[in-house]
This record gives sequence, C-alpha cells and structure tokens, in this order.
Amino acid sequence: MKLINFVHKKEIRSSGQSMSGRKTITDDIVKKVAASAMTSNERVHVLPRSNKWVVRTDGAEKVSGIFLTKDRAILRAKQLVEKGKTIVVHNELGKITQRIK
Amino acid sequence: MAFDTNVFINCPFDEAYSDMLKPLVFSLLYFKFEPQISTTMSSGDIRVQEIMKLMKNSRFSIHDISRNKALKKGDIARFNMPYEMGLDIGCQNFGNKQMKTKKCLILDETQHTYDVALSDISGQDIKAHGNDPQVLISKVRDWLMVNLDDVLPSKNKVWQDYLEFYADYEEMLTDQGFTKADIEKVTTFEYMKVAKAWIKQKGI
Repeated sequence: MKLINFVHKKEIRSSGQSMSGRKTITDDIVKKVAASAMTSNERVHVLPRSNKWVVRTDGAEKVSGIFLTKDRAILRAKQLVEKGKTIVVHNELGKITQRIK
Repeated sequence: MAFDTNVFINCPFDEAYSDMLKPLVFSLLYFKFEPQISTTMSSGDIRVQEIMKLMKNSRFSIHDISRNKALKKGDIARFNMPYEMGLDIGCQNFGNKQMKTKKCLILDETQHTYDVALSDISGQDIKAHGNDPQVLISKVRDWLMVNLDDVLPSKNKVWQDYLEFYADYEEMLTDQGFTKADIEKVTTFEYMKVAKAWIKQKGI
C-alpha cells in the first residue's frame, strides 16, 4: 500500500484540511475515535431487522426487545436509556437517521 | 505474509455505494484482513498497472459487479469492474504458483443478473447481496470461512459492532466540526485508518 500512502500524504496538509478544502482526518481524530471504543457510551440503538425493529444497548449480547414499529421501539429505548445518554436510530444500511438525547 | 491477508476490492467508489463499502471494509478489518483499494489514488495516478499490483499482492479478491449497468437510458454501462475482474481471474489462471492460490468472490445484486450480460463467469463463486450490507457481510464471511477452513465471528456480532463503531465515528467527527457532507467526503483510506484503530482498541 506504499503508493496509496504516498498519494494520501501528498494531498493532506497538517491543518486537517486537504488542498481541495475537504476536511481530513488527522491522527488526533483517529486516536479520539479509537479511545471511544473503550468508553462505556451506554447508547441505546434502534435498528431494523427482518421487517421488525430491534432495541439494543451498547455492548449488550442480546437485544432488549423486538417491535413491529419503529415508534414502539423508540418508546422502549426511551425507557431504557440513562439520563444524559443517547438513543441512536439506524436505517437498514446502518446509517444514523436520528439521535435522541 | 501480507499476500495471505490482503483482499483486493473491486467496486464503485461513488457515494451511492459507500453504504455498502463502509461495512465491507469494516468487516474485513474485523476479520483481520487488509483491504486493498485503488480509490485513494488521484485519477491521474490510477493506472491499470498499479491496480494489477494490488491484485498480485492479494490472495483474496472481491468483485462487486452490481453497479455496472447504465443508470438511465442513454447512459453507457460501466465496464471498469468487469474489466478488472477479468484481469484478476486471468492472473489466477495464467499466473505463477502463488497466483494459482488466489480466491475470488463475485458479488451481484441478484443471483442471476450476470447471466444476461456476463454469462462466461458461470462456474465462478458468485453471490447476491440484494444491496443489503448485512447480507454482504454474511456472504463475505461465509466465503472467507470456506477458504480459510476457520470460524469467524457471526454476521450479527460484526453488524452490532459496526453500528457501535459508526455511532462513535460520526459522533467524534461531528464534535470535530465535520458536517454530514464532510463525513461523506472522507476517503476510504482515512476511514480504514479510523476503523482499524477502533477495532484494535476494542480488543477484537
């Protein structure tokens, strides 16, 4: 992957912005995202699965509930989420469509 | 040896495919493989010779030919993916002893779309993902397991960890002043670096 590394480095300036104005990910950001893997975020995820909606807390082996509708799943997530923590709603592609504080 | 863990990815690198590419790259890193992609090279630097180098250095290849159709009437079909796939299969068949150990997975949207336009590939390992990233992870995992004769984490486990990673990734980037549009413009190389660091930190 030497070629890719070379081209990549050429494009990025130390400021975290490429010459084209695109925001780039600095080593500091990489470290911060990695560090978040170790923190207990206790977010509650709401996600579609086989035409139903599933509720699951960060790090949990099992889901907390399966629901017919997204609204029902969000209601359950609101019961589960701790104060100050976030509910993250995903679409079928895994993308985040809503964050509820 | 890098050859045994390198996976060459031949797919479109446009925004429309990024919802498939991100989980694909994450799952390969999760399984301790090194995705090999040409997307981070600027267009002037992309030469077929360089793509061939990536292929030659990879025991595994994933070719997603689901997006080679013209999107609307009057558009021309995209031939890069089938072209690169042909090169890779040629490399496997006509190459040296090491090249003959190469394994290649062909992905399409539905199981028999290729019959119409590319029937010569019948007999290859072809799987359909239906444009669903969870199915994509599952097909790639099963294919790797067969070729490795090893057990890999379940599709559900990878998907759950991917969702956690993506929530961390988007949250942190937003905190750093990235907009949704900025996040979409992050290169696959940068994304790979972050995903790799997160997986390592997680102890996976």
